Formats: sequence, C-alpha cells, structure tokens
Amino acid sequence: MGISKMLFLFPSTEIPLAQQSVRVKRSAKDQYYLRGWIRHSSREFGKVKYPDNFVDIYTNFDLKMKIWTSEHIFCHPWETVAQASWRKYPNPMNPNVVAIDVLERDVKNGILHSRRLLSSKWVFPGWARKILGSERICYAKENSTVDPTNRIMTLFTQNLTFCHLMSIDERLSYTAHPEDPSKTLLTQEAVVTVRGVPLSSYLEGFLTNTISLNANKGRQAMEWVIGKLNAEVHDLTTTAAKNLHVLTSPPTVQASSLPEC
Amino acid sequence: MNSVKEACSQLKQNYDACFNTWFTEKFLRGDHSTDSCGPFFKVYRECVRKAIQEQNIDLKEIEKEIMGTEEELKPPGSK
Repeated sequence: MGISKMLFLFPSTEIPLAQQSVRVKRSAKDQYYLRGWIRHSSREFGKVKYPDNFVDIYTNFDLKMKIWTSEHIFCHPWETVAQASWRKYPNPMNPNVVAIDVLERDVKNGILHSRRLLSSKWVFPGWARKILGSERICYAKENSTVDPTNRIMTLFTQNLTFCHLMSIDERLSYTAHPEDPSKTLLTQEAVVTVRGVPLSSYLEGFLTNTISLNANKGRQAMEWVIGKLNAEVHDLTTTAAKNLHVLTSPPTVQASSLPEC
Repeated sequence: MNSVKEACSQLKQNYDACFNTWFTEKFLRGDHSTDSCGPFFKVYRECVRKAIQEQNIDLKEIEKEIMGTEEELKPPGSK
C-alpha cells in the first residue's frame, strides 16, 4: 500500500488510532513523508479527541516508528500551568533530567519564543545494554512559544543525533480548555524512531512503557510544581489576609494522584 | 536545576529567578515589553555557549529547524 492510498484512507482531520499494526511497504523516501504527514495531521489535534493509543508503522528498512498521543486536563487555569512549565525541573518524578539551559529567547509580536537545551541521563535495561551501553547523557533541543493573548503554549522537543540510535520527537500543547477557561488542556504527541538496531519486543516494550510512564510522571510533575506555586501564593495571601481579614484557601494538589474534574 | 556545566549553574539560577518574575508579573499580564533580564541572560548565555563547545555538542544541530521545512523529509543524521 503506497503513501497515496494511505492518505485516502485517513482524511486530514482524523487519524484512526487503533491497536492494529499497519504494515506498509515503502521506499526510504515515503517513510519520511509519512512521518511528515502525520506531523501535519496532528496540527488538527486540538479539534479532535484521541484516546491513549499507539500506532505501529513497520517499514522494509530497519527503521521503526512508534507514535503515541494523549490528552489530559489540568484543573488549573492556563496562566498557572504556563508558569509551572518553566519551573518544572527539578522535580522528584523526572530525576533523569540533569540540566536545562536557555539558548535563545525573545518576544516577537507579543509571543515569547524560547529555545532550550535539555540534558538527560538515559539508563538502559539489562538486555538493551549490549547494544546501547548502560547509560549515557543525551541532549535534546526544545523550541517553545507562549501566546498569552490566545492562552496557548507549545513545546516541541527533539533529541539531537548525539544519541544517534534513537530519535524521540515530542510535541506538547497547553491551551485554555475550550469549554472551561478555568481549566487547561494538554495534548501530547511523541514519535520514537529507532534506527539500525534490531528491535526486540523487550526494547520496544521498554520504550513504550517509558514514554507512557514519563508522560504520566510529567503530568504529576506539573501538578507537584503547581502545588508548590499555589502554596507560595497561599503563604503570601495568608500574610496579607492577617492584615486584611480576608480568607482564601486555594486547593492543595496531591502529587500522587491526579484530580478528577 | 543545574546547567549543562556546573560553573554556569549559579548564573542560570540568577537568570531564571529574573525571568520567572518577569513572566508572571509582566508578560502574562499583557506587558510585552522586553524583559529587564538582559544583563543576566547575556552573561549566563556566554557561559553556556562555551560549555557546549567544550563538550562538543553540535550547535548547528541545535539551531537547525527541521519540522515544517524540507529537512523533515530527510532521515536523521543524513547530510
């Protein structure tokens, strides 16, 4: 099945994310168009709801891609989430991230653009060590935009080919929830590409679980940071309240469980 | 949070503190004027650039835009 047939099957506004594998025989050129196309389709992301799901795409080369998407709602206003995002690290849920540095930053047309370098330590499980080594520091670049007028924050992370065996691209989008402006919608997409490594199902499972686990940890980390932010505000407010006789009590968020709202 | 090089971490923390305050109190409230953190950023950024060179992290790779351009269609690591 060539790429053009696949485009007919998948209209541009939705991607059927089912558990079946899609076996596609294609040339080297096609598989990169496929990756680019799925990227393009995901720009419709905010308009369609996707459950947690995986799509496996096999090619006739040693190149395997796994695409994972997810959606989550934070019971906090967008401004709180945006602030928390800059203060996300360090946090107890993501100990692998060892350094973050801002390389460029400026405001263009009211939108904040930032470019950062992320350093994280990857530790590979026993069976993967023979191929990948026991651990290494991998670098990723992150481009982000913050639009306070429309209440949209996007982050796009790509790991550099310093760790050339694997490419992980991730796109996050925090937006004010369309139905409830006091909440924030997070949509995530991750594409993992492994090159030249004979992927056993164990390693694939490891990657899958790690991404899913990390996404969950990432959300918990955000809740943890928001909890700290709210506590800071609460402390300030309490101090002011003692003078003004006004009592406020913002909700405290437990890092161990996500709120239902 | 640390910097890619330990020596830059304090400079980073100084800059981050300035940025977080500006972000919350000015930027999110509609004040789009450039932040006053310029001096902090300048000295911190210089430290980071040196560290990146020392550690042989490929800066060109960092600065190149891939998604949304022609580069998106080339396999990673190809010239």
